[in-house]
Amino acid sequence: MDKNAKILIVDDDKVIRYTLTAALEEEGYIVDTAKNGEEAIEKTNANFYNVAIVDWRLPDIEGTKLLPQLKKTTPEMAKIMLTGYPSMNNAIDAVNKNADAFFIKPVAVNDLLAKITELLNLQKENEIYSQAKVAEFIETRTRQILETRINNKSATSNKRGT
Amino acid sequence: MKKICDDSKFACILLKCIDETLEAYGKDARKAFYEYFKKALNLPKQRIPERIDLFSTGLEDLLGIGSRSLEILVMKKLHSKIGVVWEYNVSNPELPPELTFTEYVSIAKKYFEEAQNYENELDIFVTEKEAKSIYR
Repeated sequence: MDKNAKILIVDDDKVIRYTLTAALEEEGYIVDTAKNGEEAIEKTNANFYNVAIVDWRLPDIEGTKLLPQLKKTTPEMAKIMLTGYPSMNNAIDAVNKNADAFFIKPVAVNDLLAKITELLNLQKENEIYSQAKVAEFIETRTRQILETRINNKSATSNKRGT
Repeated sequence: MKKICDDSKFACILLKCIDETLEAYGKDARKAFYEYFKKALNLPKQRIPERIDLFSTGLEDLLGIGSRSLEILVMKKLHSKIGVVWEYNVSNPELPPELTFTEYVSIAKKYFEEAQNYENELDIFVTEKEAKSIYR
């Protein structure tokens, strides 16, 4: 697991921001915070984060509306929703807006840490897969380019021979 | 990254920038890139800085328009590593200069070497140890 992973906490509640920051930094993660949607968008545009933990109710935007506006990074940033107002509708809405996990406040920190570990492992696997694909693509293109050159050369020499 | 050349040389800094950019695509991909340069362009890694034109056209053959993104990443790294700022004269200052990767690298090299010569002439930059002995 990548302990240098960067995590963004988006919550207007100062206590939640401090508590989660302390718990995550204790685990070795690099933590940044945003107190509203606007700040979160600015930060994701300027920086790379592996995970965003987003509160459902923010002063300027609803958490689920914010999710699609957060910049997609590579590997794609995982998104965890927090809510103090649990309902089936909220959970369905979060899943439909591509949240990777959904937690009810007060958050059980150990459960949250376990989920972050799981999401980061998945992210790592995806990254390795993507990198393997890139390497495979370059190798294939190299073969194609070399083959084309050989074919062109033999075509030219055949032409000269005739 | 293991030390491959002299950090004060522009070629070394450029090679490091290229190496770091390619590594962002993964170690296997980086190896595949270098294999391509060697096999298809007869351009071994150490010779890339002196044939940046060949590197650029080779990248374009390999990745098409996607090569631009990779070149931009190399330019960004180069800009942050050499720490030299220069002005570029353009006919229309409202428009950003249209520079090719090869041109950009060539200008960066020129200004980097000029700045280095200037520093050497003035001899104002000293090591921490030297500074301590001077100002003790």
